This record gives sequence, C-alpha cells and structure tokens, in this order.
Amino acid sequence: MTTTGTTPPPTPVPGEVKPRRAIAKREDAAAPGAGKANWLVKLALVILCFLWIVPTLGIVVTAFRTPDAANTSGWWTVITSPLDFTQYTLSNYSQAWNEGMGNAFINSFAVTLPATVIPIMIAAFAAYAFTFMEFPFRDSLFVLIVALLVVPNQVALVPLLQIYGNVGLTGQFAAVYLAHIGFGMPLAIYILRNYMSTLPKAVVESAKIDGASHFKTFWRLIVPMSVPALASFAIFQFLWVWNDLLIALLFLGPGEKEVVTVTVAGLVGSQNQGWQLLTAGAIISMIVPVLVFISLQRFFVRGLTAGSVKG
Amino acid sequence: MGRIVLEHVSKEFPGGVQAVRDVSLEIGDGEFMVLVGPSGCGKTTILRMIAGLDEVTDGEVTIGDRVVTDEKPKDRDIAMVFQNYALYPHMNVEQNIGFGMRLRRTPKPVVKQRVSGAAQALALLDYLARKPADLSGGQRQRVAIGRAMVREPKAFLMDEPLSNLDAKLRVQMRAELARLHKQLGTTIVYVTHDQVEAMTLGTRVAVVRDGVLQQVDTPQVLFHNPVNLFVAGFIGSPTMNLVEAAVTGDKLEFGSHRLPVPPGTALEAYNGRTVILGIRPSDFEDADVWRDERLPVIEVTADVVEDLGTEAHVLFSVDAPPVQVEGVDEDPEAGAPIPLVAAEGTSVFTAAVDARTAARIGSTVRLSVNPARFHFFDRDSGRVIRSRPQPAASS
Repeated sequence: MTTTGTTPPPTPVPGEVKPRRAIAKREDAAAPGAGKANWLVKLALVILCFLWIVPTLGIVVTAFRTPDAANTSGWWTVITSPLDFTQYTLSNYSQAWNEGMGNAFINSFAVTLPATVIPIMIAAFAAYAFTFMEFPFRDSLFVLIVALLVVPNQVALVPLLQIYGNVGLTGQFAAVYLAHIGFGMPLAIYILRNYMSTLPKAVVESAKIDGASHFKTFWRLIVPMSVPALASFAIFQFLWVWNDLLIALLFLGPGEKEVVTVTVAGLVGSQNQGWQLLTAGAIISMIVPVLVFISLQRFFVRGLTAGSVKG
Repeated sequence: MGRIVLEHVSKEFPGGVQAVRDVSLEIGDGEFMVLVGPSGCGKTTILRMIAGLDEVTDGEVTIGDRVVTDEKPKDRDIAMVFQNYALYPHMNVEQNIGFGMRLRRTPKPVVKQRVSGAAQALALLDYLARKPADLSGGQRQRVAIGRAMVREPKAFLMDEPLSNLDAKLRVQMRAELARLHKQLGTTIVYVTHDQVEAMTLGTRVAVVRDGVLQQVDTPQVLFHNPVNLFVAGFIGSPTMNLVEAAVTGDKLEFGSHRLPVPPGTALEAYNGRTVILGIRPSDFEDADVWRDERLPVIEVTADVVEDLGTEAHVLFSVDAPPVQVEGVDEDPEAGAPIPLVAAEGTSVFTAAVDARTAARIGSTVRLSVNPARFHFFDRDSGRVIRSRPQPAASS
C-alpha cells in the first residue's frame, strides 16, 4: 500500500476487510450456493462496519496522542498526517497505569469473579429444578422470576444502601457482588432454563433408569451439556459487572477498593483535560473482557448435543 | 426371572386423557413381546409404566417376583432403549456404555470387561473412543443397545428403537435384534408402530388401540385369526381387503361377485344380513398361473399392476362400499395401502399373485380365491364371526 499523505480512507479499510471475509466464508460453508451476498449487502456491511469502528478508532488514536495534541485538536486530525510520529506517545499507558489501575484490576476481579460464578451456580441448580423436577407452583414460580427481569437495579440502590449500612457491608466487595448476583439471577435462570428445556428429555430419563440421582444427573449430564448456555451467560455477566460503574461507585466508591471503571472515570475527572489518559485507561481495562470473550466464545459452538439424539 | 405382569393397569394423564385402559398382560421370561398399534394408541405409555417413568393411575406392575408399581425406575432392574437413542453427547462410546455401571459403583475391571464384551457383540470395538456425534445412526443405535446390555437387566424395554434409521439399516438392525434376543435370552418388551417389525420380531404381539389391548398372540395367529376388524386391518402388508358382503343362503355377494360360503362357517345367524368379508391379498391367486379346480374364480379388471419381482400386486375395484377401519391407515410408514382413489361406493382390492401373471393395466384377470381362508366380521361390533374349528383353515 502506498500512502501519499492526502488519501483519507485507506486506514480503516484493512480493519474492515477481515470481518467481511470471515462472514462470507462462514456462509459458504453453511450453505454452498446460497452464500453469495450481492454487492448491495456487501456495501451495507462495509458502511455498518465503518460506522461501528469510528468511535473505537477515535479511542485508540487518542490513547496514543501526546497531551498537547489531545488537548488542542480532535483525534481525526491525525488522518491528514498519519506518519508524523512526533504526535504519538506511549506514555499515556504508563501514566494511566500508575494512577492506581494495577490495584483497581485486582479489585475488579474481586468483584467480578464472585458476581459471575455464584449466580451461574445457583441459577443452574434452579434451572435444572424448573426443567426436570416436578413440584407445586413450579410454573407460577418461574413466571415470577421472569417477571423480576423488568425490575431495574437502580430502584434497589437506596434500600440496599440502608441495609448494607445496617449490617456493615458498605465499602466491602461483597456489597457490590451481592447486588450483581441478585440482579443477574433472573436472567441467568431464564437463559439456563430455556436452554435446558431444549435438551432431550430422554437423556434424563435414561439416566434415571441407569440409576442416577438428580444431583448426579445434574453434574454428570446436564452441566456438561449446558456449557454453551453457561458460557454465554458467563460472558454477559462478566462484561456487565466488569463495566459497571454505578453500583461500584456507590457501594465501594473511589479509594482503596475502587474498581477499574471508577479509576478510569477518575482519570479525566482529576486531570480535567486528560482524555488521552482516559482512553488509554479504557483500552487497558478492555483487555480482560476481550480475553474472557475470546477464551469462552469457542463454547458457543452449535450442536454440542449433536449425536445424543437423532439429528 | 424376567417375567413382567401387568394387572388391570390404567393411565390417566392430568387433563383427563385416558391413555391406557385396564390393560392386563403377562410377558413370559425370555419372551420378545411387541406392543404394536397406531401412533397415540398408548403403547409407549404402557412401556413407560413398566419402566416406571410414568406412574400407573390404577393397577399393578410386577417384574420378576416383585411388585414394582411404586418403585423408582432404577430399582426395577430394567434397561430401556429410546427412540432417539438418548446417548450422552459429551461422553465417548465406552463411557456411554459404562455410565450406568459406574453409577452403581461396579468395580472397574468388571465395567471394562462388560463394556468390551458388549462392544464386541455389537461390532463397536473400533469406536469405543468416539463421541456419539461422530457415529452413524446405526452405530448410535448399537451404542444405545450396548448401554442396555451391560446392565444385564431382567428385561429390555425398547421404544421404537429402529424408527429413526433408514429403511435398509432398519432391516439389518431388525435381524441384529432378533439374533441378540436369541443370544441373550432376556425378556424384551418392544414398542413399534410398524407391523412388519412386530411380525418379524415378536414371539408374541400385543395389538393396542386407544389404550385397550385388542389381541395378544403369536404373529401367525394374529395374521390368520384376527379377533376383530382392527387387528385384521392392522396386521399384514398389503392390508387385508375388507368389504361389505351380503349373506344369502350359502352364497356371499359383494359387488358383482358371488362366492360360496365356506363350509364350517357360523354364518347361519347372518342369513339375509350383511357381514364384513376380509380376504388377505395373499389368498388370491392368478387362476391362469396356478389353477386349483376346487377353488372358485372371480373375474376382475386390473386397475394397477405392481410387479415386485417376487410377486405382483393386482389392484382392482369391487363394486361394494369400502370398510374403513379407524386408525389403520393413519401412519404412512406402517405399510399403508396404496392411495388409490376409488369411485364412490367402490372398494379397492389388492391381490398378491405370482409374478408370472399376465395381468396388465386394464386387462381382465381371473383370480382364484380360497373361501376357507375368508374372514368374517360382525358389521356392528367389528368382532370376528368365529368359524367352527377347521384344522385346514389356518395352515
């Protein structure tokens, strides 16, 4: 690629070509012949990808700019002279990191891990019972839980703050993850039950005849077969909790136990003009969710139950 | 002892659906009992009640010498093979087969030995490390059977195990099952809607309709002496020709055909009335190929001739109202009759004759038929009109 200096579009293009190819390839594999998207669809995809990428690009570019440059001009001005390396710097990252992000990372994990693992555990048990066990009011109870989905967590902030104050939980990690567990549970139960009800009933009946207790059926059969649903909920919950600012700010606040989102928000607050720091901090904080997503997304494979029953 | 006894068993599902009504059935040790009937007739429910997956509403279930009516499936010492195999997708073949034994804490060497024994019997030795997803339909079915085998249960319960296989494989697995039963000698209760499977596999066959047992007997007796119209129409392929026939003295009249009432038939009470006459397609023969002077002959016009190589099916219409047996023609897989639209008030008959027949579409065919093999049914009750004992009648 030859860049003459005054051609605006080339930078984003390499980033877009990749997803387009991946999509086309997958379609071809799934249904040969039917996978030829016409040029209109392709154009729409290019435009959508471009629009989607612009803000991200802005963050990435800003994170590498010097404070002077960031404070005096918009990030898009780099496009006119992308090879002028004097406007770039790596110091934003080290500076953002030194603002306490290392400690905040540990805090974030202390909140996010229990807030992800515990609801999955409880919800999987509940979903199993809702799907495979019979007890009075089963369906009404399930409807009630699903109805809880519409309750926004903001309504509980004040009462929670009072309760936490009474039991001395304010300022503890548990204050945050308990709130997340509670509000993540309805969706977790809903997703897992819906998934489990698609599992072949005969498998559970077969286990029953084989002599498996509910507990064994759950651990040895249903959990392994529900991995796709467990993984997708884990990703969602992890991202929500990791990216949450409101609850963490209220119950933990800035200070010794502040989480990453609070630190990142503080980067611009304390420096007033620190957008290059904020963006660098944001990129650092993004690393973990991206890793989580990449490591779990392979469980999204469809047809994990393939071969169990006739397919 | 793998004896299974059902005594006055009924099942009513919540919502009031009566799936099984007062079924009493004794299945002997080592017997291959086939429950057959159209879909929704309750045969699977009967099986699930034996397994303990469905509770009985009324009645008693005995397996071996124990009444198990209120016992859990795992305490009944039975193994079940499901229609859709129900394999555990995340376990390989070896783990699938051994799962039940591992749950019961069978010592590892025993598990290993039994698994490889079953794998050998089912030709699965090369696939032990594979997951179900990497197996063909027939192999999956064999894994499901292997999983049942290693438990060495009192009885195998099989719920339409072959219905998900393609036609060729089904025939193969059918023979395999028959061989396996002979080899193991374990009681098998087998549910199917396919009367060919029922006829070929069963030591005895129980025909079920609307939750009620119709007839329980050997396939031969079901074929030759069906107790009612339903069994007559359900068993046999192509299905029995059924038509309304008038009895006048010693003559039977249906359409334009007149045939003698066979000797020894208890039709005196029906003189001047209408009965339902049933003739098996195989009881017709082309009189120009095989001529037996003692047998009466009818002349018909062939509407369709299907030459199967081994035999030929001649379809012809008879000018008499057809007899519909509810539930018999419902399943397209159950060897349903060829959908030939007959004109109003006429019935379509099938005759299975020697393949050397000269019959062609539109040609006149002379068919001989043996009145001694006729079946008569009461028009109102659908029950068979018993003939007096006739040793030659069902050879």
